[in-house]
Amino acid sequence: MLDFKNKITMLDGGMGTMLQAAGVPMGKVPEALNVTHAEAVIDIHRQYIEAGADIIYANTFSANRYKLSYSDYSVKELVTAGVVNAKKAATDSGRNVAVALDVGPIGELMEPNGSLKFEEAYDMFKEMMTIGAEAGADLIVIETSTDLLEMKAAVLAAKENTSLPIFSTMTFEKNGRTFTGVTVEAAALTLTGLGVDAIGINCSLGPNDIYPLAQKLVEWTPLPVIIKANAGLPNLNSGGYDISAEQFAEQMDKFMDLGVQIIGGCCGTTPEYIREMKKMLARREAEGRTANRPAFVQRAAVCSSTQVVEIDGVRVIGERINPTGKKLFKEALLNHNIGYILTQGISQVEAGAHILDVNVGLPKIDEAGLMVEVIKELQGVVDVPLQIDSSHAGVIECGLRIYNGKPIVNSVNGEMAVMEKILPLVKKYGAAVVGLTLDENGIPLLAEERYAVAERIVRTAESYGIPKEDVYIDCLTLTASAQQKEVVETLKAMQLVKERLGVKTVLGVSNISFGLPKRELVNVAFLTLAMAHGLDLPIINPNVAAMMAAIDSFNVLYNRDEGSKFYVDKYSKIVEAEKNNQAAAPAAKPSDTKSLEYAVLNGIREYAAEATRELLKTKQAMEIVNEILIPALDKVGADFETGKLFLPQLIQSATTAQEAFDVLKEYMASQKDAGTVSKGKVIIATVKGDIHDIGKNIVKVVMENYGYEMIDLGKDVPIEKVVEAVQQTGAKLVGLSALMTTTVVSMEETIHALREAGCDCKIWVGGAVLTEDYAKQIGADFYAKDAKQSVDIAKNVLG
Amino acid sequence: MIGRLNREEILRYLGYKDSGVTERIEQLLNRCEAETLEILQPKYIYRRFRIEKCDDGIQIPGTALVLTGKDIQEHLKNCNEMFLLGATAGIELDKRIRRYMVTEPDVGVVMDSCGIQAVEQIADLAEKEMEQEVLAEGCHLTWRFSPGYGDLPLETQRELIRVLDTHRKIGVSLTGSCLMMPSKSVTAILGISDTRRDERKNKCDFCNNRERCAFRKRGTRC
Repeated sequence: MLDFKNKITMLDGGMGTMLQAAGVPMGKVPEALNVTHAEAVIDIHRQYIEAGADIIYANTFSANRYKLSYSDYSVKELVTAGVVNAKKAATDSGRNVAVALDVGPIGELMEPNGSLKFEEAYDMFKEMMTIGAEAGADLIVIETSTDLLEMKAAVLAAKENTSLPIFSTMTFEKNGRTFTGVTVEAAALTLTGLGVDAIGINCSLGPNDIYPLAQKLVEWTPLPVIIKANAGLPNLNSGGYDISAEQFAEQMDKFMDLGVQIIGGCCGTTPEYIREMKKMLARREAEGRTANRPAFVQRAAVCSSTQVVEIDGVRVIGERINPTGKKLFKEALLNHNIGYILTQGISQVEAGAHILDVNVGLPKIDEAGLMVEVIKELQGVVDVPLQIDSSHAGVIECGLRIYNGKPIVNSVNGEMAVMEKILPLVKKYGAAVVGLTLDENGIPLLAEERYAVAERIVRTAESYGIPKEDVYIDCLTLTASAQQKEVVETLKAMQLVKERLGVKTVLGVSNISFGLPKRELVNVAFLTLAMAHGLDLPIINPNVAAMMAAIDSFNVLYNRDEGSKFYVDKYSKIVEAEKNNQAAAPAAKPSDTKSLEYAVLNGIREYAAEATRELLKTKQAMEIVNEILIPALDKVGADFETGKLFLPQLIQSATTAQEAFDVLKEYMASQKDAGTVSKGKVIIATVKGDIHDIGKNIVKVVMENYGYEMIDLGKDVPIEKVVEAVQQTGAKLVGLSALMTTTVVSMEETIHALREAGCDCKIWVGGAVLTEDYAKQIGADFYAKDAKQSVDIAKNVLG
Repeated sequence: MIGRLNREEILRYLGYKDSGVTERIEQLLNRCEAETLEILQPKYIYRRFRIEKCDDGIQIPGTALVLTGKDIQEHLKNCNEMFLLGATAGIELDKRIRRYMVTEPDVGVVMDSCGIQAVEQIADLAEKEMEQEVLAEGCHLTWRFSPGYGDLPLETQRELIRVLDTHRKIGVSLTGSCLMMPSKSVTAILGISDTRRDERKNKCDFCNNRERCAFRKRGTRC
């Protein structure tokens, strides 16, 4: 194998351009030429080797199962032929030339942006890579990727099924992001962590436009960096590119100063471009010009694919996605109410959380399945990185596998058995990890003892190859009302850990005040003290304004918030808003029955909660539902039907009623024997193959606010999952949605499967292409043209 | 690239007929329009091809794309060349709509309509460019015709987006059921002809969903 770590390595240039120039017929897939026109392909490889390439990419870029599904060839035929052709050219040359299996994107977007599942992508990559390795490829290049999660699936497929070195290059736009929003920094952090052998940038731009991105890349990874640029910008119609081989080489020269070690050309480049780059390298050598790559500084940082959070100051971890002690959250988990969990996540991010802890552990629940689903769904709506929190290694691994970016694992402790289970996972998936300063003997009381556990964790992590910058030590908060003497030991231990180990610290804060009145006062004081003793990552509820205010103030007092800019900006806006509220409030002070009705009729969300609380002083919860909310919603529904109101207004009224329902649900959860506001369970899903879920979501929101307990299975729902859900929950009503003629087929199959399984439930359907007749024809009980009619059906079936 | 969205069109997508737009809805529309324009990532790609008749319909020499059915033949009847167009409003909009559907579904629904309008405008911009190119040659463009219209199968998308290399060039791909992702994307076929195009035919005439269409029932079109 070539030594690409200690010397400059030359790659080849464009394949497509060369094939077109060779005048071979371009059919459905260019890889078919590996079989039909092997000589032409081999000749192109030969030209690149003659021009000076040390590594040539086999013509296998799109030879995956998805892209070949409409071709006459199998993956095995085209990948094998591609590698064999390249090897022939390499062997014939008599030089030491390596052959790379070239792996491009599958061609379909992955969840949550598209419908391709992680494991499906993994399987397709695995197939290509196993075949490529068998055919004799010397390394695997995964390139032109715009989705970090797809890249991760490919890297794992390569590592788990072959022993070949992995080059990984992604395609960015001028703004430094890929089409799916991945930043250079996030790609570098994640892929370095996953253990690829070289990272880089290819395609899309010419060298000059890639340069600023390469500057960032060399700073964010210690690995060899690859640049395979286009020959400038394309002319869309002629297919030509706008810079010459000489210009290209000249532009590439400055990348060598940055310490880029692996170079080549992408679209529009030819052997001429490679030859010019070889000349450029020779010139540099003759002039004695050497690279000057900045020394790599390991950072404490985690990321999603779109957002890097560097822990160079206090960063807030939101604690709310956790069922412990939360009745509504437990209920949401049991009912598979992902929407509720997402709302908890989004509201914490809006309140300023930098990272979200995710814990979905409950007895008798499929924790691994739920962890995967919640991570996927959360990453579809928020950008912040996540902390995977579970006491089961299996759950942690499932989460780590499909997480898009570099997450935190919560947690290990000083017990060897725990570390031996969890740390290999942390290393394999390139995560950061929380280390709790306790072990099989419990929590040591004294600071020095806790420090000793911390040191053991950090050293053990290092022995697994996890840098100490990725270990965050938790010195453990004890409850002041029970162990008052030891509270200060936590603070002391944290200081020792910071000073002697130089690692970041994390702490769950609110346990401190358990059993005390006015807990928030103690929490704020403890948080402030902890930050002064070196706390980097408080785990708190960011929706408590006083806690966030303590952090904001700390950043001012410790000169972290330069010029108090953040503080002034945030709090002057709050002052402003308070003023406006005071000015506006008297006009519509909600205090009686009329105002809740008024709020729902007019969709004035902000008054609903207060009006409901007020009403609860004089009315039963069910009275409020039956006498005020439902009649008001009925009136809105009727006005919608006659065209007096339109869709956004219907939804505004529904979400206003939702605010009222939330208050009622909370109230009832707090009362023993108060019963429930539920009018029955309803399952709702967008059928398999269909990912249009807006219509389904509208129906869900509106029905929820009539008091139906909506179990939302999401979109693209497999038929078995619908049947399973009906059997498990005993729901008597099932709603199916499909937008396209093509997916009505799977709607029919789902209905058929429900009947077949003997489910005792009514089924109603909706979607743009359906009609009353069509619905009957595919076996549904009812057809609803909109959310209003769906409610009428539910009233009819469930009451 | 785009300065304003067309408010009337957005209201029409939302099912608005003729009741007054309240001040509250007006504010909502303003907010959604501003946010859509802020996060829009407009991209388009088009390529010009010579076309030929073949047994199954119309083909592009050198590619595997074949356009079948009588409607596309009618559409391209005076043409020897055509443009293929792909346009998208980008992935961030999808993410934002998903998020609002959880927290503020009224905003989500309006943003969705804003996105549909935005991608129409992006396609309009691309069409203007193409038009300038052919006007200089004394030619004209036909209307935009898309896979799924009339008897041109939706599955035509597969080959069309492959020929345009949209996944790589503008980040648009298909799902297993031929839906475009990002969801606010369009593809179209525009013929190049030496005759001026007819007054726009009612596009409902080509639509497979005309019998069931909610817009038509309200007396409008999509």
